[in-house]
Amino acid sequence: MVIATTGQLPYILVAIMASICIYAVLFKSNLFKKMLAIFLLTDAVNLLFIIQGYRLGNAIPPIIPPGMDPSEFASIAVDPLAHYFVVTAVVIGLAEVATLTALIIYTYRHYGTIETKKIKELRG
Amino acid sequence: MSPLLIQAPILAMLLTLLGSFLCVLFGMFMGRRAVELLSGVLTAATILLSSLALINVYLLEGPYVYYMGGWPPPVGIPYVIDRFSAPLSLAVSVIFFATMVYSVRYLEKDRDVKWYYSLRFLMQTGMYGLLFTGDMFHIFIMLELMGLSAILLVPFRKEVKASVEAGIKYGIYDILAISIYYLSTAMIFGMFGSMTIAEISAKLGGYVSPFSGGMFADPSALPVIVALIVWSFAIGAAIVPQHFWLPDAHSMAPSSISAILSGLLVQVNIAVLARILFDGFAAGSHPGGAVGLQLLVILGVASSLVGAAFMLVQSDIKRLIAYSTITNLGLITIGLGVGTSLGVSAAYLHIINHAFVKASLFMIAGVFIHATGSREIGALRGISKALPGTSLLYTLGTLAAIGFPPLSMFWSKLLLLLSVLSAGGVYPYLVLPMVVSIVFESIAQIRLLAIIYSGEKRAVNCHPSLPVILSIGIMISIIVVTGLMPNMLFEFGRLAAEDLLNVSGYADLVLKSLNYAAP
Repeated sequence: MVIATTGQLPYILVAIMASICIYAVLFKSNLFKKMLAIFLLTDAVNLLFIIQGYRLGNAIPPIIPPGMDPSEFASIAVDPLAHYFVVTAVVIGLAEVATLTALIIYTYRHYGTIETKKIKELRG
Repeated sequence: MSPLLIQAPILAMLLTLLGSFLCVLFGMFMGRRAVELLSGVLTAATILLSSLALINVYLLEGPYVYYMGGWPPPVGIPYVIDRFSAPLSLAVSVIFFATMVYSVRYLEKDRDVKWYYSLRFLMQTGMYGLLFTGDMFHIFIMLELMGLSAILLVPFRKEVKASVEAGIKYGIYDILAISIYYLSTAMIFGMFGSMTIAEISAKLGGYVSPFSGGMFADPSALPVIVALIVWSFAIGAAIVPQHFWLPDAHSMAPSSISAILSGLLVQVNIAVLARILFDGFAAGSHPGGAVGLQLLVILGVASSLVGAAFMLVQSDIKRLIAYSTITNLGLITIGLGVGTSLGVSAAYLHIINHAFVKASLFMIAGVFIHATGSREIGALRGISKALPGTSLLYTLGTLAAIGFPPLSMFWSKLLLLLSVLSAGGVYPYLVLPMVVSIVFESIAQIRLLAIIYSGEKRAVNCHPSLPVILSIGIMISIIVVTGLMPNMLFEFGRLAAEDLLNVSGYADLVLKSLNYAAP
């Protein structure tokens, strides 16, 4: 059975990436690995956005060339909206990295470890 | 109609953003008194602006859409100021003002308070944005704004070991929730080609947008997206089984922040989820969206029972109040999940009442912890003789929390039970778990009251100062006064549910710049 045509392969890649990341966040005990998994999840979604905005074949960047008819341009250009989402999400991701890294550094200073299994002050 | 009235909610947002920047600047050059004065003035101004917006929506103009930057949807971001979002934004402003007055004396011994006030303002901006926005991607950005500032405020006392642990726990799971929400926005973009909530529901009904056309994919995969969104907001709103971060974060944060987290942050999450499910996925009529409502009912029942059961075994006063939040959120999600007009209005009233009750309980718990120097419930024995005024306020708050008539939460709990009973199908059986959880919660709260009123007079470290008592008094008086006017409460709830459940009216309102005609 053919599970995927070439058009579906990127989506399957994104699904595998996202599942691995969610698994890692929930079940890995190292805080730094959890953090990396969250950012990989964000990157998987960024990839999903880019794939959805892309056109196979002779696509052109979303900048209108001089003299081209707008309707013809719209039929062959890639979707700029997806790129806007990705750029915004990348900037937001920076704030996430800064926040989580600062918290992990403080955790290390207090406990001397970043393994969640060894941090047991609170019971949840 | 005057532009000030139209722009009032947007100005409130801009003021809080400006305040976040100015707090750091003032703190660097002028000292903490200037920062406190500035944040006091700005939060008072946001109350005024939110009240203007409420008056405008209720009495003058009716619901309207503000085009951010002048770009009409679906190109730009619409801010929908209707009878669902305006009262909630006033509740946000009032609770932020009360906790602002409270924290001046509460944080007297802490250093670097400029960051505290700055982050508080950012969180307030995020909440306004979440309540008003009509765009899925904007919700993602505002979730980050609200979530990241809350994550940094939980371990504000970073020299305390346990508060840093609570902060990292909350941080990992909240950012995971936001990332899952981001995944679902990507899937919505692939399926609908649009991020405007109104366009999503319109396209489910067969609408063809002049910008993005019709549906990009078959809506049979919609339940997957709905489930992802419910999951992400269930982490953010601490609904069982994603509740584990809440008792830690809410009990280890400074009490002024616990009040905001427990009173507003989780409720705002639920309100946004309701907006997406009802107005975006047409949960009342479309089978794909209805999956979300069934999930909400199941999770809500589990949440109310688990929260109430854990309340019985707590020995820490703030953890007890935190588990009470989980219980009440379960009741709110049941009301939303039932999906009838009565259920949604009951859930809406419970959101607002619970916000005030829980914020005041956490603020008084902070006073008790300062006075006794301990968080254990046993240490509160005899405190009513030492701090009679504060204990009286706490008693009123607790009575409201367990639904003692005629305080405000009695009416919303009554309405929730009635809504479940009046809905068809298997829903009337839900009364049983709801009553069990309400009874368990009452037992735990009354046990705490009995400890406060028992024993001999005990020595206390300090008495609460006037601003602290005043800020708590504002909250308790709101609870009492709204409880005495049930007709007004019911009217607010009914109109909010009407605006939320009227899917085609919402799409009309947002898309009217395109001469949108409902399909």
